[in-house]
Amino acid sequence: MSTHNEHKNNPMNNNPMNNNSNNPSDPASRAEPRVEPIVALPGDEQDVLISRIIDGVATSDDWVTFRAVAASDPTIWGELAQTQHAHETLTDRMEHLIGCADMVDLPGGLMCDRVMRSRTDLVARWGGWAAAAAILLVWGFGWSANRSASESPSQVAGLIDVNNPIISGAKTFLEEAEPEQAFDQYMNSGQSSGQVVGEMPEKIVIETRAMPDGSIEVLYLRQIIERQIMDHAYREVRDDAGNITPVPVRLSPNERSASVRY
Amino acid sequence: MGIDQHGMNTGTGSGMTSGTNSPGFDAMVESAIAGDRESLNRLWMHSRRWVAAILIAHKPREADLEDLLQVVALQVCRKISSIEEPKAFKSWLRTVATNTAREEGRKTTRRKKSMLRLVGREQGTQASPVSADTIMCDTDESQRIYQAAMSLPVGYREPVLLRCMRSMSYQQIGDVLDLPTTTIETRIARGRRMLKELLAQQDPPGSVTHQRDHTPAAVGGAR
Repeated sequence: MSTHNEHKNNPMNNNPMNNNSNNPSDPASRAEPRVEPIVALPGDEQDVLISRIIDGVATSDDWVTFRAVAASDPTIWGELAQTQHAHETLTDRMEHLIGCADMVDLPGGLMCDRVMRSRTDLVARWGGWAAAAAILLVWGFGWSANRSASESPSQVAGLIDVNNPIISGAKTFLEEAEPEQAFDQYMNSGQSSGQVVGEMPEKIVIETRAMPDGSIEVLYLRQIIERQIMDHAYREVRDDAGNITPVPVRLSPNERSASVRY
Repeated sequence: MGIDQHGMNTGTGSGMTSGTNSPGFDAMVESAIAGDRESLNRLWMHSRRWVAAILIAHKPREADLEDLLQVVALQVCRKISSIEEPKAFKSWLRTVATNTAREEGRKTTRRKKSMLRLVGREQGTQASPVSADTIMCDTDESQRIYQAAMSLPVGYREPVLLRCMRSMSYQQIGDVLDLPTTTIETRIARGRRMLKELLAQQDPPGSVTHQRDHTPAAVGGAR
């Protein structure tokens, strides 16, 4: 039931028909009370009325108003049914979606601040080396790729160079292979050589689009983890002019193993 | 007087009742702010379902709700001591949730754009605004209504979705959104009308959407 304040503020409560107290749930009021028809409720009043009924907070006055409107415009029953149907369906879906919340607890252990601080410290301590490792990968891989292109163009992680006449027997295979077959070959060969560690199990959906023929186009990302052994590491350094310059980094064996954790 | 799952008085009956946080709830918030782990856990358990609803209202479609809840839980642990007034807890938590969801949205948008740019598909995205979800709407009634609700303006989407949580009253929704009860009532009513209109727009001409009995006896059930 609404409070006095809500009753005063809500436009629904200004209706003169609200002075009666005929509630359909009240047996005494079911004997066809005399209701003066209302042609239409202004503005949001009809929506508020329907909403109150759906939410189970309609007062007896609200019911009288509703019946008065329905007497002149029976389609309001249809509106009520449609709105209630949408609400019930949405409620079921939300209950289903929100169910996972019951399994999410606060992070365990002592107050998280301490844990977070130690993790932040860890990141601060090793973040530089992690960044260096990333740069190393970029520069090292680029260098390695350039070198391999000039020195040994035949095979990189199982991908056979179709332009190499020495292995022309495989040329036909790769040209005719389905993308998945070629990919499998890349994975198998790469894993055998140690260059491919594996593929992440989850594919990341970037976008889904409807096609004119009714099908759905899905753009997604496949994540392959590769491994490279390099002789040189470089760190990205920005000079006074803002230019990025690679600077060689010397890593001792201990530091290398530490950075591998990242 | 007890405290229900949303941290509200349970002795006041229906959703149109007066009153905000119970003294017990405020005391629990106060203890949690002071560092009491047990109170903090109870507070989270009282709040996590409506936090999930807020996240749903704001998160990008692809984002995982459970992951975002974990992020919010972590923020609650780390930042609750920054709350000065226990009564501000709900609006603070709602802000944390919306910020988490929006940040995820920004990340997703950036990631998508850069990936599509890499593969030269950025223009195609703008030329074809129809998403696969729209197709699903045609076949799945529940999905169709959900997607329509998600396309409501956020000011209406939030209260409509929160009201879908069983037993969450207008007053409780008002506490979370920091709005008067009458505003919540009006927004829910308008939001539902917009939802109905959106669904009507999707219906093909001449189709019958709802095969339900529209007689007075069949409607009016309260939840």
